[in-house]
Amino acid sequence: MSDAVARLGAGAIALAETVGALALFTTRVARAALRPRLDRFETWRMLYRVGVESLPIVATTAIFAGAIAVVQTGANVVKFRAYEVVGWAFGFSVFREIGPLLVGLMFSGRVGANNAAQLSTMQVTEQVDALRALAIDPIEYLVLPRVLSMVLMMTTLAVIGNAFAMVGGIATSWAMLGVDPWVFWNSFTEYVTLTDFANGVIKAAAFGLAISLVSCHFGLAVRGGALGVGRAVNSSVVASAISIFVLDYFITWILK
Amino acid sequence: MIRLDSVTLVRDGIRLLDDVSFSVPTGQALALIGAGGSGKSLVLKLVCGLIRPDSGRVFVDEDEVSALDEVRLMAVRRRIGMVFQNYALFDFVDVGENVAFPLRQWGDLSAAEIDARVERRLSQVNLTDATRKLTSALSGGMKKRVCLARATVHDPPIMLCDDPTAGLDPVTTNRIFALLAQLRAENTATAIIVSHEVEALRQACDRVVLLERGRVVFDGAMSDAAQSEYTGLRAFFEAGVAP
Repeated sequence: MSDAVARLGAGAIALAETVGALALFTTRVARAALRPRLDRFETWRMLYRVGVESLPIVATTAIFAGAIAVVQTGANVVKFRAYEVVGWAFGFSVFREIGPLLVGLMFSGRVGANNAAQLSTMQVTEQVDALRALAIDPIEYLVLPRVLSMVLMMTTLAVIGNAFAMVGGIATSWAMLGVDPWVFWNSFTEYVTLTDFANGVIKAAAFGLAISLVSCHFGLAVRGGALGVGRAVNSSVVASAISIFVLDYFITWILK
Repeated sequence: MIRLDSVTLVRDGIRLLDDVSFSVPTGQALALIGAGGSGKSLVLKLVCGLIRPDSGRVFVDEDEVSALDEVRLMAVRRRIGMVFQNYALFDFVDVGENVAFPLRQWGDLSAAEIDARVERRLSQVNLTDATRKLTSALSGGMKKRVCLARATVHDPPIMLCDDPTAGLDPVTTNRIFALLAQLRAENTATAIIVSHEVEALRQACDRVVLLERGRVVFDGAMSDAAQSEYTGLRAFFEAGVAP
């Protein structure tokens, strides 16, 4: 019994330490963002790596997310012959919830993990110390371009993902339910509002910010060699996924 | 001038540096020697402000680096050139951009001036042909020379060299020490050199400090070191290896 309590206590302390360190790190990044001196080359490089290279995986995820939304509603649509609401059901669920959530999780697995691995490798090979020794602030040079790129690109990818999800949704409703694409489109444009779209975009931006801060923090806070790099990547992916769900809950609650 | 006053560094309950005090007057070169794990690299990182002591003070000229915040430390670090033991070269840019890196980031010089400086420094370290190579394609000796070129491209008045010849053959070792001497002479730089190359240190340095388990056990002129009563130091000079 006392062992279990001790383990619970140790877990709570470790969680408090992680949250505290992440909060301090966020404060440092926010302070640096007040006087941004972005390296143009590094920022462009990150925008390309984070955005363009993630497009295929996001497009694939989005097409299937759209298709899944239609498949899930399909049985009831056929049962009640409510073909005119397929577009609305798709738009409401994908634009508001499934789209940003799935793209966020994919983004975390691909970009966040990669970012944590790269920064932690730089840390253990003393490249971060070398930056500091050369009077270059790692927060300004490494973190700010990554945060900016991930927020911008996560938002952009969510919007592009919506378009691909639409393709998946229309194709599936046509092939499985026999709903004419024009009926789908009319139902979508009639019932889905700009607020639904904005809701998803706000969530995507918040997820991008969370993934960037979490992955940069765990990357730069690494201790030890290759083992430490593995631990940093693992922690980053887990913490990013948790932050995505927690943020999703609160944003949904605030914007309901 | 570099000065350490009663510096103590504790990590995980272990005293890595214990009451370390010494100074290096402007223009002098100090050999910092000792067995592996005696705290030599930590001393260099303390001087550069990369880590902070638990007690004691570290000065670079008039600046107390152990008390400065990260923003103010930047100004001090611009006067320092640090050669890392494990190179610490940036793997995302080529050799030329590694050397140009601090100058481009600081933005004080035009692109043409930066290119000229990089070309000059790379020719001094005999690496003109490697300008466009990635650092992963270089040998250990070449990496050390790139590291030296990057650390000195801004002509720093203070040089911190952490084992600049570790794992290199004797010819490359001599070449690197000759380069160090040349670069120091050009800028009349103050230097701390960590190395196990006794003969090279004898020629390159004015003074020697021996660290043992984080404590200074000898601090004196290089000429007195070989005749020191301290057997550990004599052994170092006689055998050419760390005691």
